[in-house]
Amino acid sequence: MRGARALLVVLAAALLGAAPSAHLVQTGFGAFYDGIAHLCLTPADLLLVLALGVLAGLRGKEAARPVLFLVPAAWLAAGLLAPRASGAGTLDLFSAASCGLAGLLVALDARLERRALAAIASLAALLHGAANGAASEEPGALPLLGTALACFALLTLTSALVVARATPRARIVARVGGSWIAACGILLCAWQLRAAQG
Amino acid sequence: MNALALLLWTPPHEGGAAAGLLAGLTHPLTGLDHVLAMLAVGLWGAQLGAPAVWSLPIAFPLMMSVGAALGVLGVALPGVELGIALSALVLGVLVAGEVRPRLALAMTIVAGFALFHGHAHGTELPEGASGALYSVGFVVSTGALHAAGIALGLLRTRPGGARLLRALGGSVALGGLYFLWSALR
Repeated sequence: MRGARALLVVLAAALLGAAPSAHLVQTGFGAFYDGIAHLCLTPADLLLVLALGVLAGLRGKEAARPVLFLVPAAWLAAGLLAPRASGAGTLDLFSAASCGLAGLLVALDARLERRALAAIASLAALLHGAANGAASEEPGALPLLGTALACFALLTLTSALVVARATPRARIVARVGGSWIAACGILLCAWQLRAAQG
Repeated sequence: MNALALLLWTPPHEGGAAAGLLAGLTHPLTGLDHVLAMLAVGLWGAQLGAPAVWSLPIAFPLMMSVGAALGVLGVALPGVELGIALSALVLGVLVAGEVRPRLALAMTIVAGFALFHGHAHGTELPEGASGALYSVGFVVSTGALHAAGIALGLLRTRPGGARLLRALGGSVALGGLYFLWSALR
């Protein structure tokens, strides 16, 4: 119950906080904490991590463990390697699409093999990390490290909550939540396309 | 919980992200036609039982987002107000009549009407609000209304509950009839 409450506070803070943007928010505590805040205040990134956490949890502990480490690592690596200001708009569109896809997989309770789950999660993390890296105005690895560690924390919390409540009713609640994330992903794609239209 | 209280206390800046989220959360609630249709989806799902009780609230937001995406992109959908009014009427009749079609047909009906509701949300973004958070807001609000409908639907297990649900369906249908008449005037 405490874990669920903590998750709700993070969600509320994220959704009621500053404007979502690929640009880093300024917390005033330094680049590392700016990176943490960035994950929490960017709908596409936050929803992806939540969806991946739920998906990993639905597949069980054995499948979830690699995801907890692969996703932050891929996110960090892609963020560091992505050249700045290169195709940020396109990457944002693919990021939104991956968020929708992850939500859809949760809604369908997709019976993914352990390796397939790890591959899909890593690919999504690479996209989001690259989008963060391309749009970042802050030099250095600290913001991305903050984002990656926040990602790890949120993934762990979410997947653990799902694993701990492995009842049929909880599974249904998770699937309904996944459909909401998928719906948000579709809409985020639409907003990206509209922005691209100018 | 203190962090949540602090954030809720902070008034949203006009046209800012919080304004977008709050606008999205409240948009489905400001139209009685939306509210009636969302509740009816939950009521009907509860009447039909598993798996419809969770399949319908999955189908509706997904198709609603497709309709909303069309609205955001400026793709016209004819007869949106008519479609929304019809949704309340038809779903109300289905609940009142305790109609039990196959799951696929039930999902198709719900998904079809969801397109109109979504399109209305997608074209009614308030000036200056954050589109992304507005979208998240109305998806969450829609889901909450479905949940409220399902919670009401659980009354069917009480004595007289089934009759009460049918009466609620009748009320929704009457509301839908009124909106249909308003749309056609």
